[in-house]
Amino acid sequence: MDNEISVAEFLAFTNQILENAFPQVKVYGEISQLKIWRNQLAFFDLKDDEGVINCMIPIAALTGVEEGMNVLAIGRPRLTNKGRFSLSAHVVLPKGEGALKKSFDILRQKLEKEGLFDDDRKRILPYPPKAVGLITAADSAACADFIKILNERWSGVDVQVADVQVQGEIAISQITKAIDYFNQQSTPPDVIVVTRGGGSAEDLVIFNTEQITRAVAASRVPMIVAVGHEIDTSLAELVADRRASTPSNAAQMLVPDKRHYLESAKDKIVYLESISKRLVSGLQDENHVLTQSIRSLIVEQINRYKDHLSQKKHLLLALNPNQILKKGYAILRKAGTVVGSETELSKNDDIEIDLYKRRLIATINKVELNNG
Amino acid sequence: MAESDKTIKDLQAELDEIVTWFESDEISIDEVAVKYEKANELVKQIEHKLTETENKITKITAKFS
Repeated sequence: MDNEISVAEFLAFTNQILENAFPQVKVYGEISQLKIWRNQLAFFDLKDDEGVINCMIPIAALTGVEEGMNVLAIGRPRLTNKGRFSLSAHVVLPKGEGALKKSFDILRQKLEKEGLFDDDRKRILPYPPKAVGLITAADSAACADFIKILNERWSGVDVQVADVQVQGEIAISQITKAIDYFNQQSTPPDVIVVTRGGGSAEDLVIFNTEQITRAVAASRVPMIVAVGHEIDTSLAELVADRRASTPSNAAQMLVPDKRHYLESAKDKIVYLESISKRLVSGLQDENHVLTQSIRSLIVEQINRYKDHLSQKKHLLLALNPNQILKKGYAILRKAGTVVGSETELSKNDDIEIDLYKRRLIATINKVELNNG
Repeated sequence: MAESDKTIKDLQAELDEIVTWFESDEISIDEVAVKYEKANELVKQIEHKLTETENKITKITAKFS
């Protein structure tokens, strides 16, 4: 380059070349000399046994790390206005088992103090949901497992899949954006599920970042996070409304099993049938008792009539003149009229005497008074 | 709401309502047969929805990078 250029132009030119050559670099080393500037930027050195490089990062993007920790810094190299070569990072992730655990503990403690893991923050998931926002790698086994179990268990759910990367620093922004996307829908889903299969601690490290953890915590839509297998518990899972151990487990948690559901619905019919039968049988018993009691009432009534009739019959029999005549009594008539105590009777009057089966025509010889 | 628009949850709620009626003091012998028939119909609809309906899976076209 033969042209004369200013210092500022040289810095800009160099930074352009650096950006073209290295749009993104990932550099690992140990953090030292960590300093915070105006609560906006963090400056630190990244070093190993043979060298050191200055780094800077927005303070919000530097979480869960401390001096002495091994990290992976992701960003681009640039010359500062003061001519110092620096790595301008946008993500710093812990690296190595020790750093991962340390970082996890630091962040967990911080978020715990804020109450993000409190049980009273946990919301009840609609069961079963009508619509689900699924955040995962669309072509992954995790996605296939989730959908397979969902299809086996339930029907009619509207699942929208947000295809994201689930590891690497790019996954952090993709997953947080996908969570925002679902939350900003005019009709958001009933539940958001973030899931991926198992992996190494470093594969899963993004689910321990403050960005994803806070995005899960801030979601207005209830969330299930299912990352890795049973033994891995990430901060994102701790902050979610429900944690599932695997993608399949997330689907099981989300919807009932239709076979059991249907059995239970059919059991209700059997139950109603038994109530109906009991009811009808109770009525039949009632009817039976009623019939019996009506019958006995009628029989009683009939017997009463019978007794009554029998008494009347006896009375009638007793009053039958023939019965009286049979006993030796007689009926006297004078000129066709029955003779009573007041009837005038005189000597030589003709009278008729009715006996049992016989009639005598007679003339009175003498009338005497009878005091008996 | 039209019968076909009802969700499994709606149908289940109706079924539960009938079960509650059967368990209540309001139960009347005159309505038992009708309610029982309705419960049977609801279970048939639930079965139909569970076996004939599929989940709808859609991949969002929006990019998140």
